[in-house]
Amino acid sequence: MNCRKVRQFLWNYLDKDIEQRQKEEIESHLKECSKCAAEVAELAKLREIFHKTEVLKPSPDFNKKLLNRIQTDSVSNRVVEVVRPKPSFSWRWAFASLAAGLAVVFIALFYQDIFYPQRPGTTISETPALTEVDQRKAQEEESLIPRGYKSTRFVMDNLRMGELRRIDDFKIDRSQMARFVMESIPPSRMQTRRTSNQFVLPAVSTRTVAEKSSF
Amino acid sequence: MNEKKKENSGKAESMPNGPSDQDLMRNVLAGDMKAFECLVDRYKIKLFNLILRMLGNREESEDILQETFLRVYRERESYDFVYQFSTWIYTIALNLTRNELRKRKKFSFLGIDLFSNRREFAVEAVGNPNGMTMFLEKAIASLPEKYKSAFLLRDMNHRSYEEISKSLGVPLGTVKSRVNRARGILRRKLKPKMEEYYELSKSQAIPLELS
Repeated sequence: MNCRKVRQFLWNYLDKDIEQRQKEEIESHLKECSKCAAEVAELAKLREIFHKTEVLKPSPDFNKKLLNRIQTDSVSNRVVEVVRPKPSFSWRWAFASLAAGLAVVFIALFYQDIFYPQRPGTTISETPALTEVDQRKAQEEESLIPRGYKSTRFVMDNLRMGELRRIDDFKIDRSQMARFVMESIPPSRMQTRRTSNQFVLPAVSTRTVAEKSSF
Repeated sequence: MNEKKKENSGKAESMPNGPSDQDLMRNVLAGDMKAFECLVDRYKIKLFNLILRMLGNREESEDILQETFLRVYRERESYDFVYQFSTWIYTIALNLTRNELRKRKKFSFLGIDLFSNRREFAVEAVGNPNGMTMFLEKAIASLPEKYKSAFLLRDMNHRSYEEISKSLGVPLGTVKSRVNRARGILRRKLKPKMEEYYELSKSQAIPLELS
């Protein structure tokens, strides 16, 4: 037997859980090999330590309590299983209901986006924001519009800002409105600007629209 | 400590002189409560030490211990005399303990261990915080559950491998490898402490007698 094989069986050897023949082989090897002998000595020492675990005792009135319990147990007929109360609070359920609640809140918040993604209001919002100059221009143009008229820009802005209700007041279909705006621009006034390979909506002269539209 | 051990092993040896576990069990079946108490006294300390080291909490361990004996009494009629009584009672105790551990696992949610504060266990009762015993207790407490149970049954409770295999419901070879695995882990953990220990006991000859 070589060292490796012997070491495999050292614990078994110490446990005396080994055949007689193997035991003899190991013993003869241990006589020759000082390393393995040292190993055995260490394991034996370790085993001794393992066996020294402190012996702790249950409380002195353990027997009394137990016998009492058995008595009450046999009195209240033996069919009754000891059922520990189910915990009323469970982390799993708490987490699940929290998730469900969050889902409800989420759906409520984004209800429109989820179920009516094609609302025109959202597509129009892609028009670029007004610069200061444009705003001033818009104000100037606004002042030129006679009473009772609304400029296209006003309508467009309201559409973009999502103040759809106001337009709804006029009972105008939004896509119709857009078409109306486009048609109201005479071809001569259509100017297409080319910025970074993107065609931007033609600038609309508000007055033309304003003249035609009467709301 | 040696005295304590002797006292303990003395108790173990005195057992064969008295009536056997199975004789006592027959008396229990005949309605003898004294015999039952005798069985309780024979097993309560061994089982308590086993359960305590598995659970790490005194009160819970005592509950489980009580539950174990209660089951023994309640199921006394279903005990099969073909098997050793010790195997039977160890099986009951181990099953209850494992149930308890499983219940804990359910509660340790998202890695929050609700029982960690209860786990520091018997160590505090063992005295000298730097002693070998304490060191060993901590090392044992850190073992994975399946290695721990096999190791404790073998090296603390001195059960035979066959009996452990039956109580745990695990094949014999697996039990042996688990015990040896646990010993290997403990050896590695105790290594630094062992050297100290050696230095102290070098003056004495290392006893190589096998108990």
